[in-house]
Amino acid sequence: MSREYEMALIVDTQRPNKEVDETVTRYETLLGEQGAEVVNVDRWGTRKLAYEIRKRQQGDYTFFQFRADPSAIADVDRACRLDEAVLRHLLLQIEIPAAVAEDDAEESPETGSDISEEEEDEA
Amino acid sequence: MNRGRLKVCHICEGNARACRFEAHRLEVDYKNDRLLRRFVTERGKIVPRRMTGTCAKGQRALVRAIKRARYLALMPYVNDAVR
Repeated sequence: MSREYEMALIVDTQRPNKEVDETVTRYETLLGEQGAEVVNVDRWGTRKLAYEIRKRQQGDYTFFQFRADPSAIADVDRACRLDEAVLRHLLLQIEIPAAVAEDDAEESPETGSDISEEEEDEA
Repeated sequence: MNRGRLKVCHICEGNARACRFEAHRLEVDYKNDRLLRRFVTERGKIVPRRMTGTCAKGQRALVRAIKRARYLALMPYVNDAVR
């Protein structure tokens, strides 16, 4: 009985670049080996971190959506923990929406009123 | 206090009663930092519901997403760069 998961992965960019892409594909294959059915791989690429992680200012972000057997999750999680190249990872159980979220090029229409204005006066 | 007044939920624009969780779940996501930033002060703190007028269900989803975004360094825990 498999469940739907999402895994966020931040890979250290200061490693030789080939290794960054390699790490990402390594996890994709690892998921495959664990009998996971990878539904979607969303690679954001390198991005500035909001705060320093392990003395790094940047990280390479990748999001995997996949279906897997719950027993496989422990191994994936352990692999991420042990891997030096992975700065941080997050494994979540989710419901993959029917239409797999294609990259929402245009944002859904934002709500009218802007929150930040309201704060201006009292800041 | 203003029991009668219907809270308009900023996430799904509909009136509070019409808030459907699906509308929130799709948009409120830890990856969607453009949306999340609108619910955080310049200092990076989460804006309380009474200021944003979000419905309870929306606010709970929002808080969960913001905390996950912070864990993944998509958003800062504290934004001391702002003076």
